[in-house]
Amino acid sequence: MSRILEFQNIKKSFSGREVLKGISFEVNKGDIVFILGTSGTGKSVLLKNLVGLLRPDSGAIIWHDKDISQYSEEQYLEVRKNCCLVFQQPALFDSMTLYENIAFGLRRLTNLNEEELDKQVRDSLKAVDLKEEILSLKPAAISYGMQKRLSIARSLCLNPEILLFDEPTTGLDPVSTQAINQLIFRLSRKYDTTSIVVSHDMHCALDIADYIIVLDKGKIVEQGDVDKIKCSEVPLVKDFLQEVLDANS
Amino acid sequence: MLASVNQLLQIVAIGVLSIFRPPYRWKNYLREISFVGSESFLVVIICVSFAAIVTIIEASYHMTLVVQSDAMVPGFASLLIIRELGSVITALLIGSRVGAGWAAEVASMKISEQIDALKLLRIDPIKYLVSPKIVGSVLGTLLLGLAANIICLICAMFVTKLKLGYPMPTFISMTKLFVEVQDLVFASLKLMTFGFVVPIIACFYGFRAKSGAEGVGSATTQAVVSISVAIIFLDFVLSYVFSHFY
Repeated sequence: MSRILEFQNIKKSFSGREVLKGISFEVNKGDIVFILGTSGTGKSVLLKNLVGLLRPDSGAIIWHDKDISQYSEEQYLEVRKNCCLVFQQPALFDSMTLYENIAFGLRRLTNLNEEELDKQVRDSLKAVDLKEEILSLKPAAISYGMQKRLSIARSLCLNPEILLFDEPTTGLDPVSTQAINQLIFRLSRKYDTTSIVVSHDMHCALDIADYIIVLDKGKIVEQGDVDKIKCSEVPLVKDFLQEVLDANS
Repeated sequence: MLASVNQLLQIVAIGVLSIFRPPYRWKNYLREISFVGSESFLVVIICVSFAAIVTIIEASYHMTLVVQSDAMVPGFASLLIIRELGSVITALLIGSRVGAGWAAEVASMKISEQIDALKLLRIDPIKYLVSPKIVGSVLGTLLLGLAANIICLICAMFVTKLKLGYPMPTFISMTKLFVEVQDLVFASLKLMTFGFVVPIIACFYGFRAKSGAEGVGSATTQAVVSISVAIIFLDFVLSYVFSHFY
């Protein structure tokens, strides 16, 4: 598989507190990569560095053989069109209908005419298993789980190369969590999209990930495919695995 | 501290300049004008009406006590209403009602990552959120303030007739004698200045909101307090400056 993205020794501090302490890893095209870790280990910061919401203090982010970490806001437009971030919160615009929420990004970042745009909106809604009847509603009128799906549709409609999920199952019940995880897997395979999922859900990672990276205190403590992670001797990874075993039993 | 000043100046500069740069989101402008004007109308009218009643009663009592005549009350009260009461009460009410709403709106958007979502769509949050609010607030406060002044004067006229027994034409002629065109111009300038600071301060605290419901609450409280202090302070500064032209 071809490499699509590479993080090279990424460091990031906030007010003197080092959050990322030299993170390096590669992502292959079409893979589902899970970044696991406890809260506050810098997982979300890593994603925000990729889309330019934050800039690394040092290191490089290589996307299509170019270091995008030094890109200007203008140059980042291309990156953001191809690397879409699904936020931890649904982040839907309250004042817009659901249709406008999905179409907003398309209007801003593409040159589609109204007919093409309408088709794209409805296709992406169908892809996340939502019905067209809800399109005229405002975000407050649908459930949190549906809002999460809609936020995925909003990113998906741009046909991104990489989908980034920041804790996509936070605040969801177990059934909805399972449904969202399966949705990520299905979308990734169907559209051949590379997915990077920030999570603390090892159970889900073992289910659908191709590659798992475990962060602890701003450093990678383990990375590899599912089989390697299952045999890991790293204490944090063993704790995560134990939680899965406990939940299953 | 320096970072806060920098952020505030950024909001002012980008917020103002973006008003004149396309794309012009007319719908957003109209929505904000309506939010400021129509939804605050009733509360402003009620408050300035009572302020007018109190002004007449207090002025007549003290003037009678000091100069044994209340003949100057209509003119004096009209001047006070135009120069101070109408503008300041309107601005304070808009600041607490509209400013709180805007601070909470922006803070909620911040903590629910909607601001980040805007940035990803290459939309400047200041242009998108602050500029329409500046236009809405400046125009809305001006229109509402002028309406409040008129209602306040009408109220004062009725109370003058009922309490002091002066006929309405006397009130009008005294008002014409005391109030000059420049008073109306200065009142309008005050209203526009107050209208300008409300969205700036509200959005400033909204953008700085910390996560959680507490963060939104705290941002809203800080915004309302700061807006009130800013209005009182600016009222002093502007009154001092304008006093050189009287």
